[in-house]
This record gives sequence, structure tokens and C-alpha cells, in this order.
Amino acid sequence: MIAPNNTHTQCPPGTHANTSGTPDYQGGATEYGVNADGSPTRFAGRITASGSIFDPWGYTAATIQGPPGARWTIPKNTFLNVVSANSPTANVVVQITDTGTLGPGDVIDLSAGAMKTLTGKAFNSVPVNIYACRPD
Amino acid sequence: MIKSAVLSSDKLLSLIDQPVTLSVIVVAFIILVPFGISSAQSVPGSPSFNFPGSPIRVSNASGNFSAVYKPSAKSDGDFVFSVEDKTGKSVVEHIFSRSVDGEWSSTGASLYLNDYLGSTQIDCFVWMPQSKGLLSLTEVLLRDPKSGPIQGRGAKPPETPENSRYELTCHGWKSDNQVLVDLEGTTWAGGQFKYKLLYDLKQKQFKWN
Repeated sequence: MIAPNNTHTQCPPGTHANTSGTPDYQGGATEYGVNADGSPTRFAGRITASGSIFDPWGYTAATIQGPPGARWTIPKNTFLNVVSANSPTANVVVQITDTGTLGPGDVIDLSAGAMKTLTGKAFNSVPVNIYACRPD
Repeated sequence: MIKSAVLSSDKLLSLIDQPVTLSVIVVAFIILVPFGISSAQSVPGSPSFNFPGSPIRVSNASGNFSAVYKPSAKSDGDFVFSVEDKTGKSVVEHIFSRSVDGEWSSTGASLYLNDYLGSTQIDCFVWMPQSKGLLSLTEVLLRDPKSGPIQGRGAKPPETPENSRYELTCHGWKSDNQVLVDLEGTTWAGGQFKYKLLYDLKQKQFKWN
């Protein structure tokens, strides 16, 4: 598995973000690592759909849960460059490790660490444009 | 203190040689051994489990049933939770893809199972030996018109998994038939909610707790 860079704002070495200008995915981003009061959610420390342990302050995300047998609507372990639609200079790179039944119009459920990097607030939701990190 | 409590076999034999000491040991043996046996036979109340993990099998207090998990043979990455009877026969099965936790009631007459379904939903399932299968408390709360927490009127919290991040979890037993339930989350519009409920497995009714 390729490690992302230290700043979590660029695709991992050996990959690059889709720069076509057309996002691979668009919609809402929510957060599932911490509650409004900053306490960790019940998912903290539990196993994700990829088998890894969920770290609220890591840089991971859940995608929409697909039908049985096709659970991943975005392939697991994919790195994505998530860009705020409200503030296009703000972005974060996350790895898809989990699934969820997201709200209407939402496309990704970010860890608290990723949401904080993206918006400055861990407990938040924001419209995003998402660009997949592709092999060089 | 620890050193003084550890006797070498030579010292122990020399103590046993003394008649008074020997009689004390014999009396203590007679008093303590049956207690020790009864303690070993008694089973702890409310055995709990957290799967996947270790151990993979947790029996209820009566020893009649066990909660077991194993990787699914049909679906890669999924697991099968099952309740097995004394013979090892599976009496109920539940597929899960992330993790579950749960607890037997103190006498082992009932079991609850929290399934962490996805990043936006947790559901609690309950089971009794006379049940046909695991019962989803989210389904009961949302679909059974008479199950709401206001007795006889069926009034229910307005939130659903379709309009909110919906975490319905069980976290203990008030009695063999009554399980403690938390329902909390955030609506897609941003409103937070938190309810403390009690579910009666025999009456099939939620109450405020």
C-alpha cells in the first residue's frame, strides 16, 4: 500500500490527481469520527469494512455502501483528492477504507482528521469535488 | 509478602509433619474445596463479546447456547455470527461485514447484538430461544405501529436511517426481558437527537428510560 505524503494534501508517490478539471465524484462530504462535542463516535477504534481499525484522526473515508456482493461504490483503498467546493484551495487526500449508507446527495464520509484539514472543523459537512489519485 | 506466601516443597512437607499444622490444612481443605468447586461451576452473569476478535465463542450463563463467529464462506470479507445450541447446531445466523458486539442476559435467556452496519448506521438485534431469528430493533421501532415508547399510543421518535445518521445501540440488561437502548445521531439537516429507551422483548414495546 502506498503511503500518502505527510501533509495529506497531495496524492501518494507514484500517483497523481486527476487534473482534467472534471471531478470523478461530486456531492456532499460528512464526517463520522467525532461528535459535535468533540467526543469520539462509537465507530472510533472499531473495524472498518476494509478490515482496518478506524482512527478518527486518520485520513480515511467511507463511501456509499453498494448492494450485497458489490459493496464498494469506490474501490477500497483508493486514494482520493477531496476539494472543498466552497473553497477550492482547500483539499485533503484520503484513502477509502469504509462504507456507509450516506445521506441524500452525500458521496463521502470523512474521518475527523480529514474534515478538519479540509474545513478547519472536525464536526462539519461541506460540498466537495473529488479527484481520484491515478497511477503515474 | 509474596515471598512469604511461597513455600518450597521441603518447607511444605516439614509443616505437614507437624500434627497441628496438618489438621489445620485438612480442615481448610474440607471447607475450601467444595467452595472452590461450586465457584468453578457457577458461571458469570451477562457474558459479553466483541467480534471479530478473541474468543470466538461465548456461552450464555446456563451453557445451553453460545454466541459464535467465523469468516463467511460465501462472501469475502464478511463474517457469520451465529447462536449455537449445546450440540453445536446453529439456531440463528447473521451476516456482518464490519464488527458486532453484544451481551447475554444474566440468566442467558436473551441476547442482544449491536451491528456496526456502516459509517452512518448502527442497529441492535435481540434474540430469545423461542424467537424465529434475530429481531432488528430499528425495524421494530420504525415498522411496528404499536411498538413506540408511549404506551398504547405508539408515538415514536421522528428520526429514521433515511433522514439521519442513526445509531441505535443496546448497552445492557435491566432484566432478562428488558434491554437498555440508546438512540442517537444527527439528522441530515444538522439537528442532533438522543433518546434513552427500554425495550421489552416479551411485550414487544419500547418505553422511555
